[in-house]
Amino acid sequence: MANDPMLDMFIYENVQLTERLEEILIECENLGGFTEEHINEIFRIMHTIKGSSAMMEYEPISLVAHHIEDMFYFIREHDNATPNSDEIADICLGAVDFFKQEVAKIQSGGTSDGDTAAHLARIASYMETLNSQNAAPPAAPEPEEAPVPEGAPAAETPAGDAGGENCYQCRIYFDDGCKMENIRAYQIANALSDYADRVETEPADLLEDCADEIIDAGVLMLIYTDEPIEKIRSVVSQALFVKNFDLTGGTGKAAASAPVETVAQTEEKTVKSKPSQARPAPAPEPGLAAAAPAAPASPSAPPAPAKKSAQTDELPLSAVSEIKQNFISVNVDKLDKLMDLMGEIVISVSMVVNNPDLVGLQLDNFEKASAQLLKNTGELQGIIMSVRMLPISSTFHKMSRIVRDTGKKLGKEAELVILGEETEVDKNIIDNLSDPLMHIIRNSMDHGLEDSREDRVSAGKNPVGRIVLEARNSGSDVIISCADDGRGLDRDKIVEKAKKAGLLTRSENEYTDKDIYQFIMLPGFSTNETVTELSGRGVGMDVVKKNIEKVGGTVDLDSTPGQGMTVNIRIPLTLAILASIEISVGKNNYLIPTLNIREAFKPNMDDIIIDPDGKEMIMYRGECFNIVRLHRLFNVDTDVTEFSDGIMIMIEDDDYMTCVFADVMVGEQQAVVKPIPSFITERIGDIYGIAGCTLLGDGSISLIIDVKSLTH
Amino acid sequence: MDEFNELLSGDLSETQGKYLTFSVGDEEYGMEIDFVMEIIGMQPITEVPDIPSYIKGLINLRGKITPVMDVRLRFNKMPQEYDERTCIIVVMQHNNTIGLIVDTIRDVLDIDDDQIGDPAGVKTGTPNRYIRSIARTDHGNKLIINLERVLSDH
Repeated sequence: MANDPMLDMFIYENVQLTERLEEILIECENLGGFTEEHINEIFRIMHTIKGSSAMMEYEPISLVAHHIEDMFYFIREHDNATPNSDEIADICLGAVDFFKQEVAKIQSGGTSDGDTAAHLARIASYMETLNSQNAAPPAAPEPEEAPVPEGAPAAETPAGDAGGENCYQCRIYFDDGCKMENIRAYQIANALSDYADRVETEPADLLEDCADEIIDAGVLMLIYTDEPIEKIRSVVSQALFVKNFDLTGGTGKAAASAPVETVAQTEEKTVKSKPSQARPAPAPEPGLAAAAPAAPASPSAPPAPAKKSAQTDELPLSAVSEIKQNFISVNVDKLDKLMDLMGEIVISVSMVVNNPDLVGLQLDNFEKASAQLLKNTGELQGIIMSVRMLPISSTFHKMSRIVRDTGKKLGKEAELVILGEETEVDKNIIDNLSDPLMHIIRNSMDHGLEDSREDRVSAGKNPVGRIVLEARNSGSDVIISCADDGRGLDRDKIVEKAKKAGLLTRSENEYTDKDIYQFIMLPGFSTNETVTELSGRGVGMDVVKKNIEKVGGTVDLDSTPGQGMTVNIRIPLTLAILASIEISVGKNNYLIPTLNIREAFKPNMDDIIIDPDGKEMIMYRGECFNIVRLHRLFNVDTDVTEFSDGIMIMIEDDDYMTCVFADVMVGEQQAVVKPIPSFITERIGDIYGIAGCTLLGDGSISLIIDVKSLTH
Repeated sequence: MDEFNELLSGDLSETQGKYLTFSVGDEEYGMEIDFVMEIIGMQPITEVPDIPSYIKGLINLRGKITPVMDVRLRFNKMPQEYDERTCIIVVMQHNNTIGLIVDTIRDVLDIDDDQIGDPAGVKTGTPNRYIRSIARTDHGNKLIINLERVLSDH
């Protein structure tokens, strides 16, 4: 679909920005208000969205973004206006959803045609409230300042004219190949014009096609303003795709010789600009130094110190963004291709190194070189695998939104505590985690947490509910747990329900608590009497289980009545790699996941039992197990048909055990799991006993044994 | 084999009327070159249990696990040992990549539409379900296969 590179970039940029916006909003809400830093960032994001969507002619997006920008402009200008942060967050999140929806439309080949009226009306009505609030205390220092947001920013005050106006020269270079340099320059100039009386650029008309010129010589901007140079620097440094820029400050209309500052930026946005701002501020620019005593009460003075203090504050914001910003987005198809190619290289290497032409030759140098080659390809393979690993943080942060929204709907208060968000998991698994986590969290919000603050207080708990989302590594698995401090599961209620549904196959007290809790993950099993918008239909927990099992994971529940419930999800670190044992039957090789192997042993013929139907079993350590002969199951010719000649491997899944009989155990393998091609499965459906296939390091294909179907 | 692959990677707009011919048993067959991705030599095949005997198993095609079908067995001919002349024609259909094992590759021919006749017109009894038409060329008669049916599941 979106083959147009401009469109691709637009979509990519907007998705990133809206995600970031959502994060900020949730964060602000948790902090209970907007810091200046946050407001500026939201403002900047809205501005970028507005600019780029206007450029791409997506009117509705740009319109909504524009109005939100206005709103924040207003808030910023009247930062004593005590904005109602809840209302702002609601408006903005509404807008975020709108953007997402519109971008999705565009992505699927449509155009942005959403109805903006509701959003605009809401913003307008809120602006009115703000206006009236602000008009009420007329003690504001600048009564003459127009509250109209579109009005020229910081309309010149007499004091400003007196001597506060500086002229800064700024030459900006963009990242190589970032495209549309002129438009990007225009956006920066536009952003600067919010702070400056006048911005002159060279080339003069950036909307003309002058991208080549800018690539060669950068763009020169003359900024006439009475804002301090730091302000200008922060605006420029926050712009996207800026490679570096020279900012020269001066007093008066002439660009005086002043210290030149070159700020090199490798990547976009805040994080990179933070260190540069955090380092000891260079001696005040002459211009500023001159201006400051001249106009100590200049209107621009108060915001500047406020901003500085906001920056020095340790905001949680920076920690979050640092995790994200070190990553770039790559199309997964490319990674898949890279991995395929890697497989091919491994094969080629072994073809060269083990070339039959070399047999019997004494080649010392060749041996040395090939050892080196093998080592390097091994490392390369490891790195390529690790490239697919992503930190789980973005998935976790999406959950804050769920907690917020469901909390509002249900009238419950809850905080989400996120631990271990830097834990890395394979990309495929991350994609499959969102849905299950969403269900778990909704479930906790709806059923887990007590219905009212009073209930919680009387149970001796903090009135605000607490959901802890944690990820940690454990061997080759990742464990994700979601714990709430609500009521916990009601064992009796579940048992009763299970009885009614005829699910109990043993006597009631033979079930452990964990067994009982597993029932709620069966399709259609809900202990909730009434169906609510959020849950109660009994879909939910079974979706969780299914999705997690799809990626090879397991789910179990733990609960302490009155203390809350914990859902533990255990998933393999990567779908791509499965530690397994290779066995051979005839000339075929098969893999059994190491996790499922209990033990392997040479069978003792005396322990073999054959029942009248010819079914073979084995007594081992006082227990009787079924025997599955792999050569019979898979119809393979082999010389090893006597139990005494081969090996017995005991496999288990969920406490079900079976012994499989194979010729010999070959060794350990790290398998890259792939499905059996659909060409085959479409014909005959799933193959009994086979879970998938894999490419081994030597380029051969091996089938992976489906332990579940053999044991159950 | 390489010269065929070179031909295949050439200008694709010129594939109209081009056929890849190959032999299975005594007959020579042809298929539209559009479907053909590449031609490779015999590869080690991994057997898969419980599948029809004419599907031999899986091969590793540069990291892509690809099923292979023995055209000989598909056409109900006697099985034959694979040798150095045995080739796998890799075809693409509905985004599936499938290898077809044939005795050997013959040629790439230009065949005009008027050289192609209806097999029903040929007095061979019941027309074979895998054969779409017969082309009369300077290099003898070629049976043009119906790839869709060869790859279908009945």
